[in-house]
Amino acid sequence: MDIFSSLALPDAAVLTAIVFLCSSFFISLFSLIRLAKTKAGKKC
Amino acid sequence: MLINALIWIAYIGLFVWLARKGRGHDAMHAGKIHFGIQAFAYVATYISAVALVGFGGLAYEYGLQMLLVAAGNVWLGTWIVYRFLAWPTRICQKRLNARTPTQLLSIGHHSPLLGRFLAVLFAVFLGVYASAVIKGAALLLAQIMPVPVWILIWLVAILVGFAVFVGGLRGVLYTEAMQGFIMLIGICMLMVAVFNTVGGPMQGIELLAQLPPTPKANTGFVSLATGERGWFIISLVIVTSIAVWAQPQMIQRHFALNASKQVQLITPLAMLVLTVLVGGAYFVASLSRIFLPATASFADVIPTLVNTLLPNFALPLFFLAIASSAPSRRPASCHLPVTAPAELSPAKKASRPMWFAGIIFCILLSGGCAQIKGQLIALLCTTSWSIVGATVLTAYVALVRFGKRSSLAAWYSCSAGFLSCMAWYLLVYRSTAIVSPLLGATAALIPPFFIGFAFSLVGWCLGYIIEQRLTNKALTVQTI
Repeated sequence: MDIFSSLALPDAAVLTAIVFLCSSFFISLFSLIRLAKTKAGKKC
Repeated sequence: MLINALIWIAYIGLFVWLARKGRGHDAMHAGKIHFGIQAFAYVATYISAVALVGFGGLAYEYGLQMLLVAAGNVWLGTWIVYRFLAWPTRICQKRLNARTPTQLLSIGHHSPLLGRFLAVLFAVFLGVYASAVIKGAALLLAQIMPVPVWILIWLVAILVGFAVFVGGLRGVLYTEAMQGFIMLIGICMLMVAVFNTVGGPMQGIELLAQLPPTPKANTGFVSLATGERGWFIISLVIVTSIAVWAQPQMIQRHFALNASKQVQLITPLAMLVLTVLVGGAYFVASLSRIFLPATASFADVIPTLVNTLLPNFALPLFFLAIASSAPSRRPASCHLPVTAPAELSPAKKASRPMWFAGIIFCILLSGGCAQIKGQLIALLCTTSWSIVGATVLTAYVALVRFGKRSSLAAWYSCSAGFLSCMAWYLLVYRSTAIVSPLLGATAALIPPFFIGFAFSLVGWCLGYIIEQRLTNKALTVQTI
């Protein structure tokens, strides 16, 4: 609880934007890695 | 000095080499292009100097709420486009044998006259819009080059004209991709520098939350503003993320797709690059509020950050990166106006003299407009996206996504969208009305794109119903 109370959290709208940006970063990164692996697998 | 000179030579050499990649191809066809090139080219076409420097400045003034714009650009402006519009556009373009977005709409809706109207609209609004972007680049280059701004404006315009003339659409895609890549490096460098200064992203958010509210960020820097200011941010999200769907230079990017599988590769890469570029730029610009004193103009924020935080050798690279977004945007915006004369030509290939004349027209128009001082350009820049989007969006989505082809509906939709958006700008919208806003203070806050799009939608429905009834009537008469 202390951790959360000490953090200055952004409001819901900004938090949503941050979540969307982070998810786009990780989703697209993992998608690219998965696609690269599939491609490498096909070549082998 | 030597390093700076080497960077410049390498940059120009690479630019010329990539521009020449389009030689031997029809200037309006891209041919087969690697998915990585297409992804970077899409991002570079999307993001301009106006977006990075101008919106970066807005992030300084409004705080983290500008991340809503970044998230909108990534999900609405990129993911939705590639998920629902890109491949259908390519299929439609192939089926109709259209060479440009203008032809796609005119052939698709069986209306050559609509094609001529759109060719003129795109030539004027994109040509003039490009002037604002050129000016942005010239002002940034002036920070590292002891040359008058008016000369830099012509230099940038000619550089872009060269890229379009030599490379056509294919050369434009390659040069854009290069510039998108340089932009990515530049923003990453800036992110590292700002995070070092504020002690990391989480520490930065905490410090930002402690700053007192201002008239613009009226609820502080880590929350969405209330009232007019908050609506301004929401409207920015909509205009920059949805109006972009129907910008002809963006539509044209889909023409280069080779297969539907390519979309699966382009989508994550474009989203990743855009997230880092736009999200990173707005995030660090917001955090700069902590240590950067108030600047005279919000356009000074990013250049000031660069000058104060980055090491000397990185300065020319960064300014090139940011200024690159202008030439990258420019070939994209310039290519369309240049194709305008060819829209009227039945020839399969645009002839070289015709192509050259189009480029000269484009350089003179945008280079000349860029010499005009400040306000008019800013006005034209902000209006052009909204007007083009409001005019074309409904007819474009109806055609490529729903397969609806109707000359009357397209005409009603385009003219209603164009006229209502223009009228709203000139008579009602507070920042641009030439008389005192006609419909009161509340209406004066509604962004013209919203009005234009609503009218365009109504126009489409009306035209479609009328055409259906006329067709039914004609069929009945024939049967009798």
